[in-house]
Amino acid sequence: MNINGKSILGFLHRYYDFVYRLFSIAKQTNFFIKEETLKDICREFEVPFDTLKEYRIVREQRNNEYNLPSVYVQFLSHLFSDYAMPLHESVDKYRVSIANYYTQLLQEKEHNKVNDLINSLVSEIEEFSEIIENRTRQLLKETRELKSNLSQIDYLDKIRKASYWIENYIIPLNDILERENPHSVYQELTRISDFASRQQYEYPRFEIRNQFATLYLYSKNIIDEVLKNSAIISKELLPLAERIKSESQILSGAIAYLEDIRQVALGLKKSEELPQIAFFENTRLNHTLYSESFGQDAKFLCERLQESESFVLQPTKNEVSDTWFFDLETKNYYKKKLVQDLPIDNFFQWCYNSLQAELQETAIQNINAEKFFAISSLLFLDEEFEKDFHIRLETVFEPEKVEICLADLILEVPKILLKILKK
Amino acid sequence: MTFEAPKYHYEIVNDLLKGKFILRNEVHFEILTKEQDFYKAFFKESFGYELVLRKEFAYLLSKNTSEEFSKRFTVILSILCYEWNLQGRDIKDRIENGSFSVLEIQTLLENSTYSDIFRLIELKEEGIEKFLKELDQRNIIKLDNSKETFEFTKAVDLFFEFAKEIATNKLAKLNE
Repeated sequence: MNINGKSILGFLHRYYDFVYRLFSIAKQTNFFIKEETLKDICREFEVPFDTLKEYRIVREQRNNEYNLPSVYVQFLSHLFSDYAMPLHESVDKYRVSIANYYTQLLQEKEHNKVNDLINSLVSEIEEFSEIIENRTRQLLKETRELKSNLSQIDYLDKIRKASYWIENYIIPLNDILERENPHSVYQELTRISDFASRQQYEYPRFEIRNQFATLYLYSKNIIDEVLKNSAIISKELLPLAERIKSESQILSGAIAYLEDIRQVALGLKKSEELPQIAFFENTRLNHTLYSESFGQDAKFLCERLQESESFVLQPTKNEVSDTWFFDLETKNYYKKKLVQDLPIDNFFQWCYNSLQAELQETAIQNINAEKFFAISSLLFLDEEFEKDFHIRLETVFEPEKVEICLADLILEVPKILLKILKK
Repeated sequence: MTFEAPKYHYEIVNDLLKGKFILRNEVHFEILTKEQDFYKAFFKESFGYELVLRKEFAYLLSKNTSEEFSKRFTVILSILCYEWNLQGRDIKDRIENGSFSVLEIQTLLENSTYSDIFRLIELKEEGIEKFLKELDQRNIIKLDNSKETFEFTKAVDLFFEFAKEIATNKLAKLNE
């Protein structure tokens, strides 16, 4: 068999669809492919398997495996505009090598070595620029595919994929190109271009001055390329990937929440385990905390506090010393009473009536806001009722309003039904 | 000694205690931002509530929530997100910039795959319209004058953050 460039290109041309299939399948496994799979594709496209080996389009490995040599990987990637994405380090190594060549160039005095260093630098920059462009294009293509989600991957996988790309490819790529980053290739290329710009006039040898002129123009061009790609990344690629991530997060969170609600309804999950958005709910403070005398009382206390001498508030002649405290004993008494009286169809009225009943037997007759609110606080002691009496209370707010006349305050409060929560 | 309260003190306290979000475009938002140290201490000391002040809105945070309102709100918005996604729309963009008809929302909720969950939140005879009015009163949405269409305010960000947190936790659990 006559193997030369023309016959290889003829083969690739004749079996273009086969080559495309081979490339796509091999790409998924880092360009390694099992002999069996390879033979299947050959049979499907009626391609002689041996020719493939003779043209060295595939190379035999151990364990009945073949691989695509890197020269074909690069050529076919270019042909199909489909690039593999090795980790960011494979891009970053160019930044390091460009910087190294430049440092050497700055120090080198020997003309021939200067000539070689310039050539190496140009070819390194060239490779770097190609990789950057391919990678940006590939990331954009894959991100758009992820957005349209033709392969129907689920939302959690979408989050995972978008987060992985952002973290491992897009942001590092952006950093390496970023104008403001002092260690970016942009900064390195700018330094090289400035240096070459001076040397194209100052270097003692004519032919090397020409080399520097080439390096100057070349680095200027690549700087423009870098900026163009950097703009695509920061204005299009990164926002798109972030949006996919954010949309998938919202959707997957929303669906997970709905499924949680379903599980609670089916009794497979406790309602306490249900996450909820934390913000203030007005229903429990839906009464007016207002009294005409509040302002005057506050003023009186403020004035007294300003006086240098201490003062004691003494009960007036007709006033009975009020010794009622909502201490632990009182609290327990009311907690027990509440449990005994369940269900309570009007909680605030019950608070008032209970206080009235207790105080009737004492000299203290006035039911003021302080006492009333103390008793009302039982409404918020869900955990204590659960702990002490092993019951869970359910509060139902009725639309109806109730007026409670206290000694120092008139309250308009909602009618609350309190009962034991049936599980 | 006289008690001097900041301007719009009544509106600030009244709105927040009613569970309302104060939005950036409201006159008292500026005062609240300026006097944030005072108000943070005020709500903490007086009621034990935390005042959360963000760039776009302010609200009170309480551990003692009766959960029903926030549950209804989350269920409704979650179902809508699911349905809008099925229609191929960008959810966040749609919620942040779209205008919605009350009727369209009602139809979507009632015909959703998750309509069983929608029925679970028991809006009863009050219906979606009344619930939307409550959202409007709390500045979570803005109903137009006809009460037939509405837009979401920036307060809806809390829902996005909540959903993202659930997703992140779920992902973390799967990765364990």
